[in-house]
Amino acid sequence: MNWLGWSTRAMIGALVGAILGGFAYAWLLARGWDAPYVVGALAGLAAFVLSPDKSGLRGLIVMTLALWTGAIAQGFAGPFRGVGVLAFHHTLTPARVALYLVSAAVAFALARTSIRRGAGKRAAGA
Amino acid sequence: MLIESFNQLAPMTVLTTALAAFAFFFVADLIYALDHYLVHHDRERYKVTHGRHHRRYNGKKDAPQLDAYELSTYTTAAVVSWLLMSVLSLFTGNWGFLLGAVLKYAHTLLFHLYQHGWWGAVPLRKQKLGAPKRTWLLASAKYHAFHHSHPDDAVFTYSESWAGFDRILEWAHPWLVKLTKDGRAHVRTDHRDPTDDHHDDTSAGGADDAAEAR
Ligand SMILES: [Zn+2]
Repeated sequence: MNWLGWSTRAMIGALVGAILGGFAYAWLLARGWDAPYVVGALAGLAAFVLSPDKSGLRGLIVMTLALWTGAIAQGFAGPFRGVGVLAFHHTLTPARVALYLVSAAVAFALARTSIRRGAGKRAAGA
Repeated sequence: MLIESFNQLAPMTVLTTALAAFAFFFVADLIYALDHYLVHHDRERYKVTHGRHHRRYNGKKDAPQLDAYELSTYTTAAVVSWLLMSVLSLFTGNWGFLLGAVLKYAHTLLFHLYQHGWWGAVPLRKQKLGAPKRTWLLASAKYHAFHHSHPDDAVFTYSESWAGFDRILEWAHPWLVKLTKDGRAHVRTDHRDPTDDHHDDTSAGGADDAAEAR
């Protein structure tokens, strides 16, 4: 039984990528550059390189991870310093939502597939 | 002053949280009911996925109350909804969306277990549960269980929460069925009735996606 298209290697990679991306995002914020998509790019790239196969659900998990990590990371430095995730929505403007959507799209697009040529597709229940 | 503002805020927060949870429940069940209808009008998909569920309900009791396939598909659907609703909650500040997704999973599992408990040693079909009424009220476990033993009944019982979805599907069926996979295939090939019975196959379950096992 395949549980949720799981790949431990890809997930740990995505987590490390997201954390590195979070640090990079906070560092950039402190210098006036609002780039949450750095988190999505690094998390997605790690999953893309480490995934043994394709999985839409994995894409969704990494996308969610990237958004949450971005929301946490922005509270560490720059203009949103000290704002926790419960108040995250107060920091949003249409432009910032768009930046986060870019992060989500990049993370999903990369994490749902694999760098491996001819990688098979995983589905739940199989 | 803090308590005063809390008193003003709390009922509003409770209300918006409850509304968000309810909204998720409603939309999720609409999607599940529609997808359930669609899988019953997609011969190929039915054969390798959902058909397994109906065979299991109609045969002898031969597996745990909730088998690995069902748990995996239900949980996959639930995880997808948790992920998306956690993001929606994060971006709106309304945690009712996430709460609704968690409650929907609990509802699905309890609903399923209740029906299987009912199943007991007697196959569902032999329990003669009685045909459900064309209601616009809430879908009971008995109402939905009827679908498992009679997947092709004229009274639709796809819904797990609001039976109104089934009434709307029944109303839409004459033209909606033409848009389904089977409906389109029939238009292309011959003039057989696309609603004809195709649920007697006995092939084993295979690849699947979220919400298949409903
Ligand atoms: Zn069915």
